[in-house]
Amino acid sequence: MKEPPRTLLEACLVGAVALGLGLAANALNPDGLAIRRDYFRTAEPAPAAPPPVARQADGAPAPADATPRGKTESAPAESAAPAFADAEEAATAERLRERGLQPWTHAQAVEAFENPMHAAGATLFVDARKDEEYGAGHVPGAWPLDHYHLERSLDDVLAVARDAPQVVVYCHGKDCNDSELAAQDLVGFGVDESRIAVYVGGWTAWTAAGLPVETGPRGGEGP
Amino acid sequence: MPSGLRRVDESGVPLLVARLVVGGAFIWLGLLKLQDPVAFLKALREYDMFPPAHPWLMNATAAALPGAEIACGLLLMLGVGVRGAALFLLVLLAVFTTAIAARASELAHQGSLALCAVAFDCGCGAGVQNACRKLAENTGLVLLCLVVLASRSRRWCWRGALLRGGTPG
Repeated sequence: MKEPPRTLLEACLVGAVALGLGLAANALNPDGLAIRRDYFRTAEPAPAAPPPVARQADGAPAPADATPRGKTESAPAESAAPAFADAEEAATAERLRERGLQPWTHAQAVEAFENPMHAAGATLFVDARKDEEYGAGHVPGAWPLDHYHLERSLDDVLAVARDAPQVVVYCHGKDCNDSELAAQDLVGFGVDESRIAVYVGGWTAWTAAGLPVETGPRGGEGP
Repeated sequence: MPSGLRRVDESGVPLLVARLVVGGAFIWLGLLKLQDPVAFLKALREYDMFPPAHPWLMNATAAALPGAEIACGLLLMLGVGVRGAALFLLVLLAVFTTAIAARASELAHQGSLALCAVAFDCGCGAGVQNACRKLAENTGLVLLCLVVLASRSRRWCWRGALLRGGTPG
């Protein structure tokens, strides 16, 4: 009965060659994965509650000014805690807080976008979705930052994010954690975490609200 | 093998059908995964199958599997090393079907749903799918792999066995 061992040997041979070809295909694929990179590295939970963004009495972010926000800003009253759309968003917000990131509600993101100081660069929106999705539509003026392909745009984003008073990172929304990972990338590359917020509702909430959309590359036309 | 079944098997038709269906399915699914390796990586992560301390293991799996599936699918369709390719794919199917069933059960439990009411992206390449339908598809592919392994025929195979001493074609 030599057939089974021979089949097993053949399966090992086929598997080894097929997996080798698979790795070669990945190496040649422009969207391929970097084998050694830890894509899902998460920051250690913050030892204390992160310094929150100053908020107005209604929970919306204070109008941005040209001065970077520091860690010395006063904490808002407990009653001013932002309300998230549903339990899923609230759970995501809680997770973000545990990781030392500031979760932002939809109202906060819209307020920052519509603030007249936004046009002057007070708030920098960063889109953490993949390139094709960014090209199909993004928050007007948002910078692309695909956590899985940082080499494509990290330098450009860092050049503006390091000096931006407020950086707002978003992805699809709710349980999508690409914005969280991109925010951690920015922190890792020297952007002050107290100036980084994660827009929890993300692209889903933005488009559901019928807010302005820019298509194509940054600075491209609206739909 | 009973003589009736043997005659059917000797016709080469069951083997050919099994090779084409399994080969075609894996080429298709591999191509879908190859188009978006990051989506496959994220889906793999959801299964908690890999030690977080060794991220390269999950990365390498996500990087290599789509191409490996295409390669094995091509071997089956061309009729080269068919039993080896079928056994390799059978192992993959056994591992991932078990993982899909476990994940679907977990989601059903979390949402207080029936198993067949669960739909999620299993990372199989076709996006969000009904769990029961996916499990049924995988079971069908497992059975067809077993047909390839059990068949003594090598009709319409280019080089049915790669190693010396294989059943002649």
